[in-house]
Amino acid sequence: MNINSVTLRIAGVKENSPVLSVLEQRSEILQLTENSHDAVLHPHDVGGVSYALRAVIATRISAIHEDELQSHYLKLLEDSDKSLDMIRIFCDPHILPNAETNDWLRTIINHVDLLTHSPQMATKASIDELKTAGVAEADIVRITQLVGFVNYQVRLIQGIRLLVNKSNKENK
Amino acid sequence: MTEIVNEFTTQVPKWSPHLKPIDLENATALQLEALEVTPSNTKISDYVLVLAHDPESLIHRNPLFNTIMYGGPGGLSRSDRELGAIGASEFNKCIYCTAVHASRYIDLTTRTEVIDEIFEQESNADLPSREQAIFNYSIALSETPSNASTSELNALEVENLTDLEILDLTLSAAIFCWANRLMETLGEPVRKS
Repeated sequence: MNINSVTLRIAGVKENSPVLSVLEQRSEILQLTENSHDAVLHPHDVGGVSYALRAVIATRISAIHEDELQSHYLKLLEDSDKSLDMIRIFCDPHILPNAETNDWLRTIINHVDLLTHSPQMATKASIDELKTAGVAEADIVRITQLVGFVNYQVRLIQGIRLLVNKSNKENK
Repeated sequence: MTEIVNEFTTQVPKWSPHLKPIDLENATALQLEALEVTPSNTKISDYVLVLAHDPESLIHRNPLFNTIMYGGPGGLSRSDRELGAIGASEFNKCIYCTAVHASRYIDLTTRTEVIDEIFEQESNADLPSREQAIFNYSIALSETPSNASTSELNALEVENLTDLEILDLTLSAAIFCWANRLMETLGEPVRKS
């Protein structure tokens, strides 16, 4: 099992962590989680959603939950070599799109926020808005999968970290 | 006219997509692989056909979901995994996911009273202590920002859940924080005609 996977590294799993024997029993799931991370952040076919924008979206969501995952995604953003100024500000979940934001980006950021904070409020109108702003159907799915994945990952990390902290305490 | 279902129910609604499902006739090799299309498996739901617009994520997500909900060895029981899924889905008000997994929970346990209480009181449901600990952990994990703490963890330990079972519960709640976000935005639950 790869303890350097994004999820285990950020959850604080170390080579001598007693919780490793438990995680090893779910190594297939942890590998599929890492594969999913790569598929939503660094796919072969990005469609209309650049690596940089994917990293911005992942940073924006993880920033609500925790610092370490946010740092990971910020690093991914810096490693992508696109011109970033226009989208970079949206790493900060407190920055909302305004009149100067183009329709395409504005509707994407709004979709990310809606999906993250109140998915139950989403309606057909939210998807129609994306389509009207020129977001391709496949890109809507790509972005929704990315948002879904990060929402899964932050919670998995939190649960594993609780187990790591507990086993550290028990072994003191 | 199609009627959108807004209330929790164990009658599984039909899921009506807002995006066009891909057309199998024109699917790419990668899409067919992600869909696991075989001569004996050609009935694929609209939901999965919508997700096939992004085959690179679907190809991992399908086995990830199935292994979390049904995989082993050992660990948390099927019905308790379902309860973890219900906690997240109820919190996110995902009518479709809640219907599917509440009806599976009842099939596995015959405990309709647990589901009745959750439908009535939602996140404040008053449940027997083991179910309460599982449900509360799932809800706390589903909050934004996520809010599971040592107090919810301790409650699970009091109910004698092992670390492996707690990991399985974490996974089932977390994967529904993903699934709910797909189901609730890419389509909507409608009454079956």
